[in-house]
Amino acid sequence: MSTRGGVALSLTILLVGVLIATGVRDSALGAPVRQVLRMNLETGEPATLDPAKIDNRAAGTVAKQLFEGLTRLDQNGNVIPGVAERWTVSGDGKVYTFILRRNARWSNGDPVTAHDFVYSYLRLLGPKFGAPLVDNLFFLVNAEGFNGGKVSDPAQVGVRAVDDFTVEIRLHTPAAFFLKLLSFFSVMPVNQKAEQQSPRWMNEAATFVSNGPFRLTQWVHEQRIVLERNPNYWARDRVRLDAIEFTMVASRATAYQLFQTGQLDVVFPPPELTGLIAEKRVLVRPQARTFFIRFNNKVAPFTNVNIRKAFSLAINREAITRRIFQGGQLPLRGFIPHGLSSGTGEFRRQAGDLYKDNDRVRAREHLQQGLRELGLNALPELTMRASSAEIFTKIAQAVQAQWKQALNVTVRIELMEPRALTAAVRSKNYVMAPFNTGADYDDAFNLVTQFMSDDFFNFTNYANAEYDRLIRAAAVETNAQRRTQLMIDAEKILIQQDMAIAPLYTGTEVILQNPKLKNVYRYPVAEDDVRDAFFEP
Amino acid sequence: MTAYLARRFLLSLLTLWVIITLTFVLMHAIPGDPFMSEARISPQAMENLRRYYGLDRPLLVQYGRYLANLARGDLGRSLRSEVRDINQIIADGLPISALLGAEALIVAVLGGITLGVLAALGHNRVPDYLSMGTAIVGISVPGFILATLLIDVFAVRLGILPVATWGTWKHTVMPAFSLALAPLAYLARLTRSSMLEELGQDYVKAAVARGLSRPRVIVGHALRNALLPVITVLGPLTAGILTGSFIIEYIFGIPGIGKIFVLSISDRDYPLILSGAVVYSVLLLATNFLVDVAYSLVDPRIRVLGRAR
Repeated sequence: MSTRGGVALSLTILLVGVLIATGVRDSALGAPVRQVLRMNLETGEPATLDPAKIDNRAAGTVAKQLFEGLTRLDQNGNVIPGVAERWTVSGDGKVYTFILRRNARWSNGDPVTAHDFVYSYLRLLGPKFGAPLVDNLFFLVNAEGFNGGKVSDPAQVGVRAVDDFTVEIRLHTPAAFFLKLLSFFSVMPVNQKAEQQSPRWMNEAATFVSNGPFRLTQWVHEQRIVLERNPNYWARDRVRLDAIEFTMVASRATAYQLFQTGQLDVVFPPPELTGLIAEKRVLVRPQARTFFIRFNNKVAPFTNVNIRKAFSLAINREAITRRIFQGGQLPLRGFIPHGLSSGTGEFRRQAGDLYKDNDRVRAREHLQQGLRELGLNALPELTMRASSAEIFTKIAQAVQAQWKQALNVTVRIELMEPRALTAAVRSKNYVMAPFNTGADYDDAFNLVTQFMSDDFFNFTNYANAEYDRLIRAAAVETNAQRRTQLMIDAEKILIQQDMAIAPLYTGTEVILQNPKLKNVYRYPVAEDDVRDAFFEP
Repeated sequence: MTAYLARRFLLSLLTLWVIITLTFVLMHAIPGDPFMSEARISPQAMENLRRYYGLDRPLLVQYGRYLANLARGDLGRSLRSEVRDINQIIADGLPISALLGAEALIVAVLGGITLGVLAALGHNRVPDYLSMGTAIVGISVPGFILATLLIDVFAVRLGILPVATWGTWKHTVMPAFSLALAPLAYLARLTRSSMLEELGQDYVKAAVARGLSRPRVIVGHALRNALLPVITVLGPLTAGILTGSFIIEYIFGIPGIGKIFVLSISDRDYPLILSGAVVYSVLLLATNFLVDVAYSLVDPRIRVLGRAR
C-alpha cells in the first residue's frame, strides 16, 4: 500500500469515525437524511398499546400511527378510505358494506381481511374483555347486549364477513357520524393470528403486529417508544417519515426546554408562556371540549331558572379567557364547543349565539325576578365545589369574584381532590361546580345526550320533556339537515330557555412545533395523524 | 443474638401488616375510584372494567387476596399497566430511583457533615455564616425551582449536561444534586448543633488538655458522638430518598418509582398504592434496623447485637 493510499484510508476512517461519533445526520456526503419525528407523551407511559384497551389520548396517538381502521380522516377531517377501499350505505342508513383493499398487509406480511375486523370488533365487545371505550360500537345491532352478557351468540352482533374482503356492519339506528367513528383508535383491527400465537403479543415490540403506516420497534417502559415505517403498509410510498420517537416527559417546562435544545419537534408549552401566543410562534387549535359551571337543577336556588340565568349572564367569559387563561380559549355563547360537527357543518356556526356574554343588566333583572319567585330578599351564601386542579381553581376564583361584583352574591369555594369532586358530582352531591365535557367523536350528538332526563351522565339533574323528545328524534333522523335542526332546537331549550348550566369556553390546545415539520393533521376530536408528515430540508 | 433478630423480624412483620391494613382502609375511604374520571365511560363498560380488575369483589375478599398474593411475593396488577405487573414495574423503576437516591445520599451526607463540622469549628465566624447560609438556601429553595434553574443554566444555556430523561451518568448529575440539597442542608444544621454541643463537653476539654492533636479530638472524639443524632435521621432519610422523589422525577423525566407511587394515589390505583406502602415500609424497617446496628458501632454504650458488657 502506498503512503498516499494509506493517508487517504486513514483520513476516510477518521472522517467516518467522526461522523458516527458526532451523530451527524446531515447529507454533506449526499446520504439521504433520516426523517425522525420526536414527540412527547406528557401523560407518560401508555398502560397498553392494544387499541381496544386504550382510554386516553396519548396512547391513542401512538396507536393511531400503528394501526389503520376501515376509514381514515383527511387533513380537513373528511372521511377517506383506510383499509376499506370503498363502501356502500343502504337507503335507511343502517347497513354499511365495506370492500377492503387487497393489498392491505399486516406488519408480519399477512393480508388484512374481513375476518380480522369481525374478530377485532367482537373482541372489543366481549363482556370479559374490559374495553373502556366499548360504547363506540354500541350503534351496532345487539352490540350493547353482547357486551352486557344478555346476547351470548356473537353471530347476532351486527358485524360479519361476507367474504374475505367484504365487511358488513348493521346498525340499530342510522348514525350520520359512523364512518368518522370507524377512524377512531378504539375500533382499529388487531391480528387474529398474532393473538392466537401469543395472547400477550401487544406487550413487546418483538411480537407486536399492526397494519398502519408505522410498526413498533422499541418500547422502553416509562422512557421511550419508537415506531418505524411499516414496509408492508399498502401506502408505504406516501409515508415520508422514517421513524417516530415518543419520549415520556411529564413536565411541560422540561419538554419546552427539550424543544429549545432541539430534542423534541412537537411540545405543549407551559401555559405560563402566554407570550408565545402573542408572538404567534405556536399553533392554537380548539378542542371539542366545553368548560362550564354545573348547577344542580334540583337544589335551591338553582331550581329556579331565573337564578340560573342570572349566574350565567353575569359571567364575563371574555375576561376569563383573555386575561386569566390567555391560552386562546374561545368564549362560548352556547353549549356545543367550537369545532364540533353537526353532520352538516360546524355546529356552533350554525346554531349561533344563545346569549350575550357579561350581560350584567339582564343578570340583575333575572336575579330580582328569581328572588321574588323564591320568596327571598337575598341569596344565602352558596358553596361551589371545585376540583383542586389548577384550571378549575382558577375558573372558580374568577366566577366567584364576578358574581360578587355583578350580583353581590357570596359564593364560598370548596376545593376537592379531582377524583373526589367527580365522585361528588356523579352522586349529585353538590350545589354548583366548574366542570368540563369533551366529545369522543366528531358529532354534536355525542354531547347532547347527557342532558336527557334519564341519561346516566345527567349529573345536572336537568329534566325537560321537550328536550328529550328532540334528542330522541335526532337520534333516528336520517335527513342530515333535519337532524342538525333538531339538535339546534334542543340546544336552544337547554341554554336559551332553561340555562341548565353556565357554559364558559371551548378549550384549546397550544402547540409548539418545529417549523420544518409539515403535514401533521390535527382534529378537534380525533388523535393527530402523521402519516403524511415530513421535514422540509 | 439470633433471638433478638427473630424477635425483631416478627415485630417488623407485624408492623408491616398494620401498615398494609391501615393503608387498605384509608385508600378505600377516599371518595372516587380508578374509573371515575371526567371521561364518560358507560356504566356497563365501567362494570366490566371493575370485574376485570377484581374490584367488584367485597372489600374483605380483595384484602384477603392481596395479603395471600403478597405472602407469595406477588404484588398484583396495577391499573396503570396492562403490560407489566407491579413486581415488574418496581423492578424497572426502583433501581433507577435507588441509584439516583444513593448518589444524592452520598452528596448529602458527605457535604452536610463537612459543612456542619466547618460551621461548628468556625462558630460565629465566617465559615459558620457561609455554611449556614448555604444550608438555609438549601432548605428554603424548593427542589423544583432549583431543578428548573439548573436545567436552564447547564443544559439550555451552557449545553454541558442533558436537559432531562435517562441514559448516561450525565443524566444523573442535576437530578442527584437537586435531590441532595435539602437533606444536605438539614444534615449540616443537625451536625453543627450537635457538634457544638459535644465540643463544649468536659471530655473534649480533657482530651485537649491531655495534648491530643486537634484533628484527633475533633474527628476521633467529638464528631463520633456528634454523629449519633445524624445517624438517627439517616434511617428515614435513606428510605425516603431511595424510593424516589415525585417532583425531581417529574421535572427530569426520570423513569423512577417515586413518581409512579405518588400518581397511584390520585389515580386510585389500589394495588399500586398498597405496593408503594409495602416497599417504603420494608425499606424503612430495614434502614431503621441498620441504624440501630450503626449506633452500637459508634457508641459502645448502646448494645444491639450481643450482650452488654
